[in-house]
Amino acid sequence: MIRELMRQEGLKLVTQRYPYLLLVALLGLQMARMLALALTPPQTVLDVVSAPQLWADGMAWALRLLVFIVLVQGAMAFAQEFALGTAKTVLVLPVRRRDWCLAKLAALVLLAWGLLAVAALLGAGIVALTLGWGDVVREGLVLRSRAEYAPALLLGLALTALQLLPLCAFALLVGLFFTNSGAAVGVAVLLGVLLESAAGLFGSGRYVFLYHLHRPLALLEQLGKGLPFSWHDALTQGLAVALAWFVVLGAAAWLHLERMDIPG
Amino acid sequence: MSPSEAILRVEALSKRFGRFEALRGISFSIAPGETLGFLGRNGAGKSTAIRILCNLIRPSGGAAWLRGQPILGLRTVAHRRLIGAVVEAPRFYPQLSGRRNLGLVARLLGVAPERVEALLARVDLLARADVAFGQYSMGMKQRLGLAAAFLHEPPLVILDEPTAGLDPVGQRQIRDLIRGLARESGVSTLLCSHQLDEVGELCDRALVVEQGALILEQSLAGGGMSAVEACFRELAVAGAAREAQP
Repeated sequence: MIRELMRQEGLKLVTQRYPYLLLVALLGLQMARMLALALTPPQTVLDVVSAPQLWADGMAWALRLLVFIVLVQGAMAFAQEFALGTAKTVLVLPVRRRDWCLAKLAALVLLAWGLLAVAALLGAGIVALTLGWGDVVREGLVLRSRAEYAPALLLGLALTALQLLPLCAFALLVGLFFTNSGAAVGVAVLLGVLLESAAGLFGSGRYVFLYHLHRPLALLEQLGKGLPFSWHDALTQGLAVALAWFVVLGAAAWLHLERMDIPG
Repeated sequence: MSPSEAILRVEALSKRFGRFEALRGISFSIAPGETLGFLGRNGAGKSTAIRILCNLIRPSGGAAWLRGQPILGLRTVAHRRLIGAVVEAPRFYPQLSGRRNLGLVARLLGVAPERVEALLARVDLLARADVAFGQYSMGMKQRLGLAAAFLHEPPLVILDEPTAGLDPVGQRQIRDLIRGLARESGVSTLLCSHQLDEVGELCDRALVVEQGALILEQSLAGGGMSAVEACFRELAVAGAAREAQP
């Protein structure tokens, strides 16, 4: 049943227009950003000079837009069903609410990971066409070889993918409280911004999932400057926080859907 | 009709929304093959009862049995295969065609694709089956809703104001369809309506609900419809008196 519901989520997504607009915006801006950086001669030592640095910078740029897309799509997942009245059509069928919630969450996670993978491949292509996937070299000295940094790039990408999990559950949960897609998206984005701001304001910020979202890519940018990429406590904490929030928010969405009266 | 013979039996169903009592312990049953009219003014509690029976909202009290099995508040969903429903207006994904929308419902019900084509032909939508649902007229939407409700040939079909917003020709088409589909599949039907002539034409028995309580249960055989009409005349007089009070 969950697979069938996920298939239906996919069908609904690909038959709408706005996801394509968001995808074009995401990839277009990422490409423009990366090309501009690659083709601009470095002015200082902080400017992009290496392949992993350019790739990580492009990915960090794409991730900002990806967060927005996940919030939009996630918040609309249930709010749109309530607004259209299709929630009633689905739930009078032999569909468990738990399965429906899981299918929507899984479809959203797959969408987020798919977009991340597409952005990573596009970034890799741009790097190959511009700087080339060579060693990280500064003033003739090889700081990191390609064999050394390639696994770190994959690890950073995988960690970023995991950091997106709680964001998906968060957006889905927010959408459950609205019968208007626009309001759901607006509130999800606003809450996201508030959460991120609050994370920076208080010492407890490290327990907020958004606080850790950009860390893996930031480390990869450092790697591109020649610094080492090694596993440390902040990455462990980020991973633990992301997975804990994913479980809590996902369970909250499921329990709320299970107990709620479907809007008329 | 004994309780064991009923296809659907509802006992003391109640629902509160905060301090507002939307349903006050209504009880009724439907016999196999019977079409039961569910009448009442706006806000009387008809749709609340239907939404409870379709598991869209939780009751505050009471119980319901379908073929003798309890159906409310269950974690399991297998019993929902025994019900076909259109709750309020038929709602489908507007960007998908009628055929695709019905196909989605069929896959969730485990119904063969051939049945989808047969139902599309039966409700006279085959020629427009590939048009997006969002471009359907109100009558076409209602016909697609009926096709979805009868798709898996359930023993009980619940229809909530199936002719609302339709012109006289559209109303006639839908009434003929309901009568035809119900006769062909031998289902029991719970028909919620605002239109007395519709209930008089399609139903064997009628219930009238007012302020969440059942105030009349009337067989429509012979001259039974006149009792229902008299009941609504009294409601209209009482309503006018209430509005005239300062």
